[in-house]
Amino acid sequence: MEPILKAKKIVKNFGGVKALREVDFDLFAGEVHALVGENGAGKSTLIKILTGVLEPDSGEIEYFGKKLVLKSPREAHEAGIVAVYQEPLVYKHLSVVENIFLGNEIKKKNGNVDWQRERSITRELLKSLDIDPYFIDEPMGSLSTGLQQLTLIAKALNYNAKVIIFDEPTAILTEHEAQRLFSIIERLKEKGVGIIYISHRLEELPQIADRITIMRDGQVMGNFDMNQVTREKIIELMAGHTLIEELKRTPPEYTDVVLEVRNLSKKGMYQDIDFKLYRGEILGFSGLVGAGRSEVMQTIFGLIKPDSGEIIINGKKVNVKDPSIAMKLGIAYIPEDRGSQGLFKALTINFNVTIPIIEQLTKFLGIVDNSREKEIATRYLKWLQIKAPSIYTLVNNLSGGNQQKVLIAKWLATSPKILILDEPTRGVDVAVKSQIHNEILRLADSGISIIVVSSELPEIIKLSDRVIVMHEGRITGRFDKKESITPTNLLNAATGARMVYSRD
Amino acid sequence: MKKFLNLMATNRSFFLFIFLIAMFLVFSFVIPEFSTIYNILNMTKYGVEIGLLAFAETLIIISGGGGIDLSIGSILSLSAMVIGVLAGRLGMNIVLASILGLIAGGLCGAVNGFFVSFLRMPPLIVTLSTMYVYDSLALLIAVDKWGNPMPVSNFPYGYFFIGQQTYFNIPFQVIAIFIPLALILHFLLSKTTFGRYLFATGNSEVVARFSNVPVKKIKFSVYVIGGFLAGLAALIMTSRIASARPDLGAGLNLQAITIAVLGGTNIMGGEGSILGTLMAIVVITALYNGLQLAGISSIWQVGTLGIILIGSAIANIILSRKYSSVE
Repeated sequence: MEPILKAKKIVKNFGGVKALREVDFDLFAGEVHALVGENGAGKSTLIKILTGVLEPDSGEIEYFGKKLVLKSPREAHEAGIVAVYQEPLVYKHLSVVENIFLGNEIKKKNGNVDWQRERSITRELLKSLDIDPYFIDEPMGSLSTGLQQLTLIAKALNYNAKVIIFDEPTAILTEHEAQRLFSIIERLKEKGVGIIYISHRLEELPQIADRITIMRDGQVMGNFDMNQVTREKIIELMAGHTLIEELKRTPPEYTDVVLEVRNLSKKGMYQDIDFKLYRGEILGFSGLVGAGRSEVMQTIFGLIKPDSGEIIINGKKVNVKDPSIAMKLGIAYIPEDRGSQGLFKALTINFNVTIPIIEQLTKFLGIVDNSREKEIATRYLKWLQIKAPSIYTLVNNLSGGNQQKVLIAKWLATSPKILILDEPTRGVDVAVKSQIHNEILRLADSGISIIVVSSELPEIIKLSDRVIVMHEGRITGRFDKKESITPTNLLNAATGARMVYSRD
Repeated sequence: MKKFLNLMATNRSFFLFIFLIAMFLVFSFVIPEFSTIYNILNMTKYGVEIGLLAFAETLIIISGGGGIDLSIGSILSLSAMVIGVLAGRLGMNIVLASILGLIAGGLCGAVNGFFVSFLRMPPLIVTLSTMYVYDSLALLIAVDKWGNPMPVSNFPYGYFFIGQQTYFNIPFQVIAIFIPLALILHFLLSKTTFGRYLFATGNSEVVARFSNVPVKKIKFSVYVIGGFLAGLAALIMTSRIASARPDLGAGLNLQAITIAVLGGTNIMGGEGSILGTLMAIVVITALYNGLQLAGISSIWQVGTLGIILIGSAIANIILSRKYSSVE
């Protein structure tokens, strides 16, 4: 039997970044082919190429034995290659029927939409997937995410889809919904549809996947029949021989607890979060994107109100209602998204650096003391070696790395005792990255307690004295000894194996 | 020359200043009495009331998130009637009545601010609704004992110095109220923490929240300040025309917004200045005056306002495409 879809030696570069290096991938009719890898391994890029969102730099796609060149998602759609994303792309105010036939309406001779036929086809499509079609006239927005996904599958079938790509479909489904999805995937297989299935939940793969391809750093690390590979092997290939820089760092004395979080829960975000942060330590928070780490940190910083649980700072229970209280308690939070959360891009470096502490820089009547302000901004500009003509340069005109430094400067200026960095080096080049790492270490040495949230394993492993791993809103791993902080251990915890502990 | 055009493209106040000079030259050439000192000083008083409203809109629009106050003219009407009814009909002390008129303006602004900032409702919806409500209230309290809404004109004589007195031909309200207030507002925006917080909020509410900026307080306060300014404009206007009418502010809502935008206030928020708005006020006041002296029907006034706005926007786009250079 020949594969229906075959990608051969696909190469894709973004600027200097090699996203895909000669990737081969194939898919047979009626099989589920799982695609796994860490964040940034190249899965999404591959999918985007297969669905016509991106064009490859070189390499080709063979589809039913013929060469296929995709210039747009629409062409992929028409060829029968459809992707169903984690957050379904739907028109919330239109009905299920309208969503399914949008852009592909069945018309009567007089040009009106043939609702009767559209509705009966919708019913049949859903029935063929064993779904009771009672909801076809409801607005899409009123359905659960799970049902929205199913509707999109029905839509794909209506396009006569031969290949359906699921991108982390179960990440936001309930257990029941996930099981229903699996049985529908079985039905799709029976119909001869080929399925590419991306998931971080390794535990669910043996149940539904026939084959698995593991990617890392834009390369295929292995391709196996699902029943011939162990979870350990998969993790090992995902983690690879990650290059970890060794650091000379004297571990902190674990004596003073500066922050303690007890049983913190917020529905839909995180559950039973428990941890301690010691003076002068660097505590890493590892896990996959969407594991709830940022939400926990934003709660500590007063941006999210928890449902239950306690936050204790220097032995005192505190109620952090908003960031101003967090700041008074000495907490600084550097958000992951520079553009929409961290910096005022259309304003100057000076403005950005001093805004959190502007009230401390006043003379009287709320008048800003410009000379003190300038002094502070200039000091951090030099200290963090921000490359800019002056402190009055607009943040927009800086490179990503320098923007990140401005963001760090902004929060260092508040003289924090507890510094929380959320993805501190995302989108930053290697040189600036190691500069920022050195800065973090220097701050920890000076007695500041630091939490680093990062999805990059090398970063977590390099910096952290201890590591906590989260998976789907829960803590699934704690590593207190430097030796136990290994890529394999962290990945195991991050992909939802049972609780992983290592303590002395 | 390149530098000059670059400045024209990037600095709205400078652009308006050049525009003003050009307009002055044209009007002076066509209308001899335009450039007399008497005329110039006298015309300033007509810019005061709309100017105060435009300042109010400047602050509110800068605060971002669709910030706008469609009710600003209606607040003026209501404040004017409060002063008129209290002083003229009920015989209250005029100073006290004026203070209550100002407070009424501030309260109206506070209502807007409450809905916008604490209930997170869209400013357009909120102020569109309150515009009608304040208009109605102004009419309601204008109702006399025979059941008709009527203007009030029997103010005590001492009240008129605010809007009618001049010193060396300079109107009292310009020298004693408008200029100091413009300076204070300019100072507030460019030198104080309030100004920083205002621009931060207007640039991005999310970043502001992440940066320890009291976003809600700031948004609330701009509407309150706006209400006070409208109340002050009501005070000046009733004194100048010696009458309080429930429709005094009619049509001023959008004019005030237009002037703020003409002055370089970004309708998306986060950008604008008192100086720019001031320049726009001067341009518009001089324009109205010139048109009037030239014997052109006042029907044309708002029409030209619209033409100037779109014209300056086009000029700005052309200039910035050609000459503005990123540093």
